[in-house]
Amino acid sequence: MIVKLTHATVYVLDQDRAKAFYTDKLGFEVRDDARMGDFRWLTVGPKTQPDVRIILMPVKGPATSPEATAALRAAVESGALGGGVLECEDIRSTYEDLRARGVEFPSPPKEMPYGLAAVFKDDSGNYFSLSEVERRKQG
Amino acid sequence: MPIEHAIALSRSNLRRAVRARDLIHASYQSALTLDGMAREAGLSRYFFLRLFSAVYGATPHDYLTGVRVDIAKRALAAGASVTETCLDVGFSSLGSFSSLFARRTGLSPRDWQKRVLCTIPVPGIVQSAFVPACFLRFHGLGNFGEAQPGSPALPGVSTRRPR
Repeated sequence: MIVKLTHATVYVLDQDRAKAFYTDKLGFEVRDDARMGDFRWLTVGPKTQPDVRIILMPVKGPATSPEATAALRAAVESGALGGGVLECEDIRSTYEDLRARGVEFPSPPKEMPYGLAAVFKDDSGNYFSLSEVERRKQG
Repeated sequence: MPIEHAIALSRSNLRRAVRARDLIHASYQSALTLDGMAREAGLSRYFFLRLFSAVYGATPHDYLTGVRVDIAKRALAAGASVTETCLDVGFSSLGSFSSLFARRTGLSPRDWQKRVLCTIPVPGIVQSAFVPACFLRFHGLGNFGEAQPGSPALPGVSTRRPR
């Protein structure tokens, strides 16, 4: 039985730029940053969720054909690839905070059937949903 | 009732938990105590214990042990001796370190090191031991034991030996 997702891939156009975006703007931490020849293993994650890594994978890899690289680059740049869903504890303040840091939000927070959600883009063009975590008030 | 169900994960509580976790990562080599971590987070000992467990799914002590073991693995994979690694990650007793390491990994530090040094996917590049094989393969660095055209065959068993 599979019990957990531990790594997810986000294709990025420039690893240095992506690293700065995910750490300086989103507030993530760097989990790995190791170079192995032309390959750079770069992962980040939110500080409150240490058991998951987002791999900031370059669209161009040493073993990727020029055609595949071009197709991947075009898909990322056009916003065709969804990055995923991120949760925050207060979407309105997080939205304002991220916008102040220069994060682009094509869609501001709004009520959706599943809760409050907004959409932002990373520095490469990947779209992410930002949603508000359901508050626990049992305590 | 599980302790994590009794905590409201407000922004200020999350920040306090993160601050304590940052302390663990920055000071894992020191003798961190629950009281010291709670003080750093600005919380009472009991509330801090409940909050940290709610956010990270582990007690501060278990989390600290996990960090130490993870860092120990990297040191052992790089060829450090077991004693050196034990002291570097904040243990003063080799017996406690070995026993905790074995409990977490199923192998003694020495056996774990032997096994890892024999299976590093990219010869000479220790970091590759910590990169999932599918990503190494994507970058032409690993072959899951298969031959790849144009790539040197990767050894199933390396000639490297621990110090």
